[in-house]
Amino acid sequence: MSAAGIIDCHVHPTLRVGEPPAACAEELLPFADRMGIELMGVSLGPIFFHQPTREQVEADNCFNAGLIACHPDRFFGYANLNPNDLRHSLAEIERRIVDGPFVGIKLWVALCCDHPNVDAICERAAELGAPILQHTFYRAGGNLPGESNPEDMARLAARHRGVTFIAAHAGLNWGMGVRAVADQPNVLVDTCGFDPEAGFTEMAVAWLGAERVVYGSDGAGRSFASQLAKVHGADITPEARALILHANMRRVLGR
Amino acid sequence: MVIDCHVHVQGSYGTAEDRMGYLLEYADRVGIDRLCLSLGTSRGYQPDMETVRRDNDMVRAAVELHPERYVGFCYLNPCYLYDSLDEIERCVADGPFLGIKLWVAMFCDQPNLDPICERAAELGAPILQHTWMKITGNLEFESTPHHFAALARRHPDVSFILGHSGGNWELGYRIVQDLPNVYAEVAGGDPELGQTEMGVAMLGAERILYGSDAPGRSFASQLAKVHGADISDEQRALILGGNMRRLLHL
Repeated sequence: MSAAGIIDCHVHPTLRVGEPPAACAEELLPFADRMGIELMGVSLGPIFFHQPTREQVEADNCFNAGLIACHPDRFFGYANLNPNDLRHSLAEIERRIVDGPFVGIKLWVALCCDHPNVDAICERAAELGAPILQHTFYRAGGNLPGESNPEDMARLAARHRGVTFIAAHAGLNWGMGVRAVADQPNVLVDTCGFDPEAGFTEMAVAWLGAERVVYGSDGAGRSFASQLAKVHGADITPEARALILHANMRRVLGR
Repeated sequence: MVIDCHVHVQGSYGTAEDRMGYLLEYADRVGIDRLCLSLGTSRGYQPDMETVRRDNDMVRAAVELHPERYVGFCYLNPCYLYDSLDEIERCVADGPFLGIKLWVAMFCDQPNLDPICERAAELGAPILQHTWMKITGNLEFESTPHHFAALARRHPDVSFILGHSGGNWELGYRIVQDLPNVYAEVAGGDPELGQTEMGVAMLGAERILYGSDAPGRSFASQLAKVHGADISDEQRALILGGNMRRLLHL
């Protein structure tokens, strides 16, 4: 385990597709070790489905549970849900979080997070203390059907103060995304999934405070190194950097 | 020791003096010990020699202020051959500059470059030559790795640094692969996966250099290419500073 102890809150097991979790871990862990990443939050499966079936949701969650079983000291998991199927989503929460080993929920692009179905999920998440990692994008060409933007995230978070949300990718267009969630104290942003643009981390810290910014990579779709560069190179204090790289996620995860 | 082989004074933030200070602050944040500095605040592609001398004086001021941090690379416009040779004497032979920087004023395979290279060989000064292969077409006199290879082949006793590895590094590496006096640096593009690994595989770790092109690019995003690469610790140490230390006799 690395002495640096970095936590990457946003990783997908998209290496060695078609092989078992142990093979994926075997390829992923050396990259993480090289960059000092101790713990990775995994979600979604080796293949992404915009509108996953029950079987696909369960297969993803089983795969990630397999990763955690192989390396419980290196991975934690977010349960993948399709909120269009509310009954199954609530059942998966029971199966994966209440019964373990997952600690959070991942919501992607199946249903806009401002939808009432997501409220029921949030109510259970609040009872369980499970953070929700919600994909958010402002796409220049228009979002996918069901894809949330940071304003959707802000509306949901305002209704569920007892849940910690991570607005993944800070909305991609982070100049807008950071501002859209600034007034919601229970929303954090992660750093992942876009080029290492100058000023992102500084702006997020200035608007949200370092306590509400967490390092994530979107690996294996993005390299750990290019996404870490946003934090390592930022004009912020060493204390702020430590919060972003690990302390905030330790607080969110209670570990 | 981490040495950044490719840093500029140029930028739009504060004065040149301010930026020399900022650069060190940014470098400290990511663990860079020495910065090879070139070009001043002029932005013209075809500078007259008065402008070139003024640019070099800015670099000289930075080196004199922080000799333990900055290494000067002497900027030249080879269109002015005799003035360029005089500038080499003023800056490199008489010190404190250790290398030569050539940008986009003239294709680097032209005959004017030969006397410059001959003097560089006598002084043991490496030459950092900008190269790019732009899909939209290069500037009028902007060198590609092909121009660069032609020059390096004529001067095997000069160490040349392939600026930006040609931009299109997959082509750039291949074009200089058989030239042992050529080093390729990683500066100036997005942190694309595989750039450093391919350089190591094709040229050997002894011929790959870390550079950033700061402040046009961040130190951190360019360092990521090396820190994140699937190479051995020994290879990483060579790329981050060992090779440049050897080239500059530091």
